[in-house]
Amino acid sequence: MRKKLLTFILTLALWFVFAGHVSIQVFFLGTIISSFISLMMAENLFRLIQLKDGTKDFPKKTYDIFMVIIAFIYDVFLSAVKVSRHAFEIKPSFSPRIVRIKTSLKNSNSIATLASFITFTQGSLALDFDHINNQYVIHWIDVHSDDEEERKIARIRKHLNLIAKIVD
Amino acid sequence: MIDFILSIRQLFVFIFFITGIYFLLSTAVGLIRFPNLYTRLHAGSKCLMAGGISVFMGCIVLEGISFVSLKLIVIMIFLSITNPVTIHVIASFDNNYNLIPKTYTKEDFEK
Repeated sequence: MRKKLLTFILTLALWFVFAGHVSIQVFFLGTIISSFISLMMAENLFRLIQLKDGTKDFPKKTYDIFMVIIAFIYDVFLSAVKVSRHAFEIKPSFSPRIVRIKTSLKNSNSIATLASFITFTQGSLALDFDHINNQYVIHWIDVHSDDEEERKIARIRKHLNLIAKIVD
Repeated sequence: MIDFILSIRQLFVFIFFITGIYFLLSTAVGLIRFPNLYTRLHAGSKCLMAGGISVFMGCIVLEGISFVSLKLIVIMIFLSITNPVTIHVIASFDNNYNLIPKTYTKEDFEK
């Protein structure tokens, strides 16, 4: 019941946001649609959420979630600057490399979140995930030396630890 | 005082829009100039996302606190979820199945 009520409130809030104004018509139509959604999809929605230790310690995790969002935006801009510099070079030069990184993450949610992070980290792109060996296949746009590769892998491990705190 | 706040707001809007335009332009240039599919996907993921965030942030600052800003925030969240997923799907299809037809680049013609 709690799950259905929470889904109802969230979908109704989203409905009001997209409607752009609050009136009795919007409220009635939103109530009907939100109740349909909450009746049909509440169980499936909460099955997909796999927060570590459930939702009990959610307020405590707010700081970690905030850190993840900040790291995400910072990485997006940093990597965008590097790639855009390549785009405007007279002769764009690349030294691409495909590497495999083993991960300790187990949940499908955390694996997907880290894949998104890898796609936005500096010059890396998550090509594939090997479920048998728990490895990401990553394409680097510009790696000149093994040291640089190590540094970038260390950066990914940092993200891995952040995500493991929240989701895994 | 109100004029000063408005001008500061306008300044932030301009900074966000100019940054967004730069990144979106670099996405377009990168998609044309980069040599192969994977490097083009790099441009399509990172620069597009940074450009999108900048333009949306500019719009949010311009609009102030309203339902439109909330809508923009929701759209920004959707973009940040869908963009890496689509890029990963394209890369994964190319890596595993070779379903994506090869786009010929300058390097291919030189060979």
